[in-house]
Amino acid sequence: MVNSAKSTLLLAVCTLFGAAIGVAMMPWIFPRAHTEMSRTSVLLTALRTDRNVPPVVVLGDSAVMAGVDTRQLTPAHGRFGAWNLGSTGQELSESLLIADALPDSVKTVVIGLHFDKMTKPATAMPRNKYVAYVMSGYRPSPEVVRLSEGLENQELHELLASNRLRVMMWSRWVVRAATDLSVRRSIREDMDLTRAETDLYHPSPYTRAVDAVALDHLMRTFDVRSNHFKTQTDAVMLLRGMHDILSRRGKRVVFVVLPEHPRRRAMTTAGFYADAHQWVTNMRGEGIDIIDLHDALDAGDFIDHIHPADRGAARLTSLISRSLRPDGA
Amino acid sequence: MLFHSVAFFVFFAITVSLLLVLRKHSTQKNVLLVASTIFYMWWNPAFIVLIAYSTIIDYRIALRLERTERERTRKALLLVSLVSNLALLAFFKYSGFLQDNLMFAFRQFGYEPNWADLHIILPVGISFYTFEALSYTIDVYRRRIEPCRSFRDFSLFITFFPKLVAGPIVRAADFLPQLERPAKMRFDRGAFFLFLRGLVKKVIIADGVAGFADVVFRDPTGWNSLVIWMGALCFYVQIYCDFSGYSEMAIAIARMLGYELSPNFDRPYFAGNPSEFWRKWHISLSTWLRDYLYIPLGGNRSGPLRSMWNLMLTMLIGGLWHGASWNFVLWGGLHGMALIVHRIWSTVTVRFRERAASNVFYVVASVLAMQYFVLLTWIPFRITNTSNMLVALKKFVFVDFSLHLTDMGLGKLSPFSTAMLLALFFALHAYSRWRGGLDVQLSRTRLGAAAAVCIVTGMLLFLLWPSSEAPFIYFQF
Repeated sequence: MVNSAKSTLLLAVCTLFGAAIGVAMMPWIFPRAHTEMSRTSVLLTALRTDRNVPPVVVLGDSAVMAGVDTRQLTPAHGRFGAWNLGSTGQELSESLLIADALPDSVKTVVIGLHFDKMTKPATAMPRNKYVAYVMSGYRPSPEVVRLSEGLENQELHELLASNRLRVMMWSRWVVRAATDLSVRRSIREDMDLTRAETDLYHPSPYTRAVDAVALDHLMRTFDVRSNHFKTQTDAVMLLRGMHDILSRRGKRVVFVVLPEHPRRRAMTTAGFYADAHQWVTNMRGEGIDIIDLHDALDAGDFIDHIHPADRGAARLTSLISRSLRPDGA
Repeated sequence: MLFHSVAFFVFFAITVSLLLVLRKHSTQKNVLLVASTIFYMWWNPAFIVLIAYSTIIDYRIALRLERTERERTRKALLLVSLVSNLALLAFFKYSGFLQDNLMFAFRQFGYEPNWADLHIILPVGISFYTFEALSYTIDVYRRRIEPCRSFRDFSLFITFFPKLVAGPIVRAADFLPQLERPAKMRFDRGAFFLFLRGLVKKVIIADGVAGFADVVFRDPTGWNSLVIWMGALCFYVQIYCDFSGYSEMAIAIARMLGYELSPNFDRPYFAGNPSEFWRKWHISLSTWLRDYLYIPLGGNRSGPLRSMWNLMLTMLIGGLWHGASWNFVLWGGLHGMALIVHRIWSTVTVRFRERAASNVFYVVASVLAMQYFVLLTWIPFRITNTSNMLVALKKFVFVDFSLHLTDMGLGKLSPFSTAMLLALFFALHAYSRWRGGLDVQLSRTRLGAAAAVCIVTGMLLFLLWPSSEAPFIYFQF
């Protein structure tokens, strides 16, 4: 019994030892595993190491990645004077962290928004994403921690307060994510995933529009909107907080409500847009610069239900560029 | 407190340490009873009252049953036990379901009842310990077992923490005698590898494939047959690995504490007919239903038609046991029908089956046909929304042969790593069918090799353990 118990204990220790090896391997595995979050590392490394970080940056989710070609944004601001720092699923809370990491050379920050995101209660970013920030060397500033502390939903604050070992434990998701992405990369020849990971100007992975069947399916994935646009306290607080922090750092902040597919607009009541318009007007009244471009594109400008095609990107970028000019011409 | 949580490991380490220090048999049982109470109260302390109620009622009734010879009094006592236990189960598990159905019925007649939602919280494990308590009283009533004279022992039988919240459903005849002699704690490699096997099944396989099934079955409308099939396969693997993984961990923990629990699964996905499937799936429930429902209803003794009716009724109740929803009744009904069809088929094809039993093609075809049916029936089990269920069933049965997979948002569901986990499951399941369980082989292998396997398993457990904690599916039943 004693011998058997000893050998069982040894095996239990071996299992824990194996798990510990896994934990210890994470700092080595993480930067080498290509996942959708690898872009975060690319962005943070560029912001930290590039001596010529341009004066204009654009933040937002994959609609910004596909919809803003900063090479076309630059004529008004000099050659290659803007970076597209969009990343997949980047919400306001995540944009806040990138904005927090911006160097002094950045003078204008354009942040892409969706009306729907302002109505959702969750302002926390997925834990997996935060892991990518910490593993890429990001540490939140006291201002950002204070802002997160004031939010009703404390998830973001809890993330920002978590210690590095804990974050390293969470980082294990990259193993599965990298497996999936490597297979996907090899079979999706129509998607330029390397571009989506590394391009700092127009990181759109899409090379062709989806067909009608897929578009129908994707349209069904949208949540049903209510008849009224009702913002969530935390989302607005985050937006105001970002504006204040960046303004104090001497940066101009412009929020852009991103274009919606005409079929999505057709699924929405006039009451929703009337409320949303009123909210935009109110925010402008508070001195927050918001451009509402939700109806700026046609169906042909989209590649799918959300992402602008190259033609849409050209139109959207031109509209943003115009708004950034002091005269708005 | 999940078996694979840090809290449980601390709890278990404390319990084991106390058992090692306090060697007196009765003290050890006291420790186990206190530990089991704490384990249960971890979820919701208030619900311990329900277990206490069930325990006291059945303990007292069993003692009275032994003292009473008059048949009418004995029947009355049994009735009190049945009503007390089933009323508790009915109130906590089925009152919301009953209310919904009554409201639906009233609406059909144009009456809109103004009833508030009941919002009753389902006490975890109630379906399991109620069945255990019932079987004890029924067995005493049938004079198959002696009543337990120690209230502490009887309480420990009901609350013994490894099997308390999700089984296996233990019989008093199997467990109470184990409490009479000092428990011999067994920290052997067999128990350790059985626990590890359950852990791998739960956290690497079940939780790893769950995400795909969750998203696909949340709204199956836009997906084609290929995706629906993969979703069904994911749930097929998830529910088996989740539940059998839990059972294996429970059996291993009990064994470490010195108690034996019966196996709950025996590779059910190699069953070639419904009857074999139910001898291999959730064995403790199917044997309970057989002994305390099907046979008392008349079983096979009252002619073919009556026995088919008994079979169907047993399966419908078995379905309803899983949850207060019509989809579980449908699931039970489908299995009941399959059992009836199989019984008829077995009766009329005795000679054919005798000849075909050694034919590999027949054996493989029957396993595939049975597993197709099992896969199909997991769809109504998984999807509670009727219209979604019908959509998924239609796409599952009438395959659309669409290979349209790109631009559907599938990338977010980790389809490739999910497919790899499915392949891993089928490989291990097949291996265990022909070569025996890996846990058994590892418990006999050289220590060095076993240690190497443990290191690799530990690494894989860390790397593939999903970040978010997922409770066991059967906790909700």
